[in-house]
Amino acid sequence: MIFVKFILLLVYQTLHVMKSKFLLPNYLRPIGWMLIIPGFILGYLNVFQSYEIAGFGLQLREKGTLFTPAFENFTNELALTLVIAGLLFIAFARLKREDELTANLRLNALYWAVLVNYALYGVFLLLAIFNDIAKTNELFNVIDWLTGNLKFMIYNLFMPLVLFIARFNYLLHKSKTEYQVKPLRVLPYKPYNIIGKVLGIPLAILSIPLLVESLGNYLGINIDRVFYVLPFIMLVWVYSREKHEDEYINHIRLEAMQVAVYGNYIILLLSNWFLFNIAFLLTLIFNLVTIPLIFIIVFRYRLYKLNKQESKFGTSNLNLGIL
Amino acid sequence: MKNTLRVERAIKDMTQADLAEQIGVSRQTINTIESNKYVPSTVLALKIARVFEKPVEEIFSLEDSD
Repeated sequence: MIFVKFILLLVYQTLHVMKSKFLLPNYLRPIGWMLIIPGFILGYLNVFQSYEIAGFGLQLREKGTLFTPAFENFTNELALTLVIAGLLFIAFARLKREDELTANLRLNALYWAVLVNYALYGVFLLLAIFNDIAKTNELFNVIDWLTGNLKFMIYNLFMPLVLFIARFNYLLHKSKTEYQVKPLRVLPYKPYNIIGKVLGIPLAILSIPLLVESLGNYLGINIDRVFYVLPFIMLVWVYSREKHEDEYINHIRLEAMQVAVYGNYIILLLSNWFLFNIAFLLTLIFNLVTIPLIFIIVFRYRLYKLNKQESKFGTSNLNLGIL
Repeated sequence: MKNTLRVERAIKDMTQADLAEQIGVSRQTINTIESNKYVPSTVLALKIARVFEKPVEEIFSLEDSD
């Protein structure tokens, strides 16, 4: 429960403090590149070769449990921090010349990157299911190496940022003389927005007791199944038009996505350093839905505020808003 | 929406870079607007109009498809 409270508090903070126009200073971009290279190498060695930096750990307590280990080596924490911080620096450092169009492209690329990330997740999931059923020898080994052991959850930690950086740079630099302006593709309101809402809310609520239960079981097994499907349903909601979607709502949509991505990585970096073992594994699972979840909360909250404004002033012909 | 940015620049003998510098955007942004691929915000349109000392409607106008 402390974990849930902690997340809620962070989301709340994100809502109020984070401004989507927040960007990092320009000089952090080259520093970001310097961080991700050792980060990815260390991460690869740690995940695929079980390498740990000798002596880079702490005796945290005398007796450990699955949630609170006695001894923790910080190699994986260091690798993830280098990768995430580096990618954030590259992704969100101010350009030399920022203007409204580059800001627009950034938001667009972010929206695209999150969608493609989940499309990749879908492919991984299908491969993993195929893997389970078919178990063909040679192919099996390759697929198993790619998808086995829930590896997507590890890719999912950095993939949205990598995709974003690639897309944003493509939009900026494909042509020397002009930027690439791409329309935002959103599903129609009917039936997608309704399907997303009707299925998404109960499923999200259902997953909370499962999360708690699996905490009790010390294993993330039960929760997995819901969490495999939940992101897609939420995504349908995130990527479908509102009933009366106009330019302004469209803008709120894009800004909410940026806040969601920032919030997602703040949660990730914090839990990386404060949660270990199974608790961190649960964070990895939870991380599959944090972006759409925060997006929906922020987007809905801002739409709610907008509606409240309208109902206050909308019925009168006098513009009371200026008084 | 279409615009006469290119013509107005020619009259004032300005390059895209000059205009970009004056209103604080990048050169690529000016080019993207000129080729009708990006519709600027009202603020940006007003800034452009101020540089050319003309009302906005003389530089930007709606098309039938808008």
